[in-house]
Amino acid sequence: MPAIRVRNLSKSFKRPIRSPGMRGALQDLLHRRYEEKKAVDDLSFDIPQGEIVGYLGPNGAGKSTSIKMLVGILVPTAGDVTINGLVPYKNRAATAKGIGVVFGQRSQLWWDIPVSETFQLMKYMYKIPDNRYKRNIELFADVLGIQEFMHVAVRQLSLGQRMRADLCAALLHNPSIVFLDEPTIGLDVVVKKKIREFLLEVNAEYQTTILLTTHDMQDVEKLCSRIILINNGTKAFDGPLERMKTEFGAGETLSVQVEGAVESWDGLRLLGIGDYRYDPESSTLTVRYDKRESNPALLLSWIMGRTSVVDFTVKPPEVEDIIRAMYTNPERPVLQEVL
Amino acid sequence: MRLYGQIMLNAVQSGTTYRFHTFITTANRLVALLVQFFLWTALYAGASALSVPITQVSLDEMITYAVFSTMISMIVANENIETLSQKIQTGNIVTYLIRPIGLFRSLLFETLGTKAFAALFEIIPILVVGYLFFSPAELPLSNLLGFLIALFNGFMVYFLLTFLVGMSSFWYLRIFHLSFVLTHLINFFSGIVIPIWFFPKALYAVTSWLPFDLIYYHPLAILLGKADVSQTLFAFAKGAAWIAVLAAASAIAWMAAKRKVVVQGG
Repeated sequence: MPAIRVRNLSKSFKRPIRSPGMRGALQDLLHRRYEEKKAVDDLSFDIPQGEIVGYLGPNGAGKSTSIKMLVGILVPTAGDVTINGLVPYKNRAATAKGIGVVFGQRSQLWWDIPVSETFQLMKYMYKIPDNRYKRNIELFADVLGIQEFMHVAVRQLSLGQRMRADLCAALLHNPSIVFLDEPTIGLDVVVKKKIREFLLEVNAEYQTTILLTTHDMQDVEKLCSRIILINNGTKAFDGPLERMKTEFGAGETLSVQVEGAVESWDGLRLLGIGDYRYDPESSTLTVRYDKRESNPALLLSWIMGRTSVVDFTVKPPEVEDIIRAMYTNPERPVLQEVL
Repeated sequence: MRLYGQIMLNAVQSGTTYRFHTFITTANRLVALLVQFFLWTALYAGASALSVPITQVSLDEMITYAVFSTMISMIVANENIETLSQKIQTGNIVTYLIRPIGLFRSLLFETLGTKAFAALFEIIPILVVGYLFFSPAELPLSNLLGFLIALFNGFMVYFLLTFLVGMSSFWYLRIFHLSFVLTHLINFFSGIVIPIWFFPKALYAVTSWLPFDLIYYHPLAILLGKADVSQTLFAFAKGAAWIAVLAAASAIAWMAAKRKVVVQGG
């Protein structure tokens, strides 16, 4: 049984169509028209226990909506979800016991009182045995560096501190599945690193399944072994990070610092290169090319035939570039992982 | 059980954060009490008691009524409407929905926690001042048990009414109008300021079919010894019936709301 099982999941919302202007406002007051917006459309996937999955997609792709269906907050319009074998919206409380949820934009900590009191509350809410609670607090507080603000009221914490405390609170009961909706949003690099280390440690120690949405590609590279990419509510890619790199990330970047300027680089077009830029200030030529159609040796020899080269670097594709390409080129063939 | 204890404890601790708020709230109630004291003294115009169709009420008893009505208003007060509408409007309601306990119980025990705090810093001061300055009537202790039962019913009725109004946010988002309606219905029909026994007969009949007098009038009438055994038992039965009706309505509303949940703000 997979930890998370999603079949043909759909969710649509009705939202009022607003007519513009004063006249429109009055019209809407009397007769409101609605349009149906499909936020999630026929989504299916399985996630086995212990996997860390990056759930990616542009803003408004339906990531948060589907996560809210997975944790039992929203009722699907169609399709099925099971979490640890339970249907979350029908058994919300039972499902909640086995999962941990963090919404990066919202805190579930008790606002006016110290962090430690919320942890106490979690202890009783999830019936965490004394020894396990103590061990987890020690381990988590250590990795996340919570000790220093354990007894400070939540409203006086910085965003990074609050986020770490929120993560700790959500994981104290050793949930077998953790849903993280943008857990690193707005955090500095040091805190981000701490959070990543923490998640990796928890995953290694307890075989915790983690599904996280993020717009931070470092998160993806450091944490995720698998990527599910959704766009317009449907799945656009599902597979290992490595495969995404090889299949979508064929674009490499070559930077060449040259000594004498060349009148025109347009000759590169004959080699099938469309994306190049020359910066006269640093006398650097940057060329982006598809590995399957060209290679750095060929390009370098073409350049060396025209001017002398001081230095050059070849940069492999960044995940960020791949994702950007996938977000902006929806017409690219959709790959489906066949499980 | 420890869970609910901890929720209450956290609410108490939250309460201690806003000392200024506590102080001003209590001062506010005292001023309102003072106004009622002078109002009733003026209305009685020297008479020591007034006869109404139902009972006879002395000025001392009326002042006792005002003191304890102020106390009840502090006991039943809750923030269901503000909390629910604010959390639903901003989408923060999700933080309640990811927990393994229900929204209703979370709110109930948070409220009880704030009551424990209020008892120390708001309710007791009001009673002390009330007794020192307004010399209310002596109360037979034998009425206390009946009063407490009626007070519990009143607390629950008010809690459920506000919970229902708060939940209507799932449909209408902004609900201050509904909140106004509830406040005015309660101000008029509950006996918070004017006891039901001063009402004309027709209005009295209407009131007896509504749940609002369970919050103030019935507990106070029992406390002051103005309700005989049959009236007391009627008040208990009416309370139990309304609690059942409102609880069922809340459960149905909650089931419907779950299908209706739209998380605002992503």
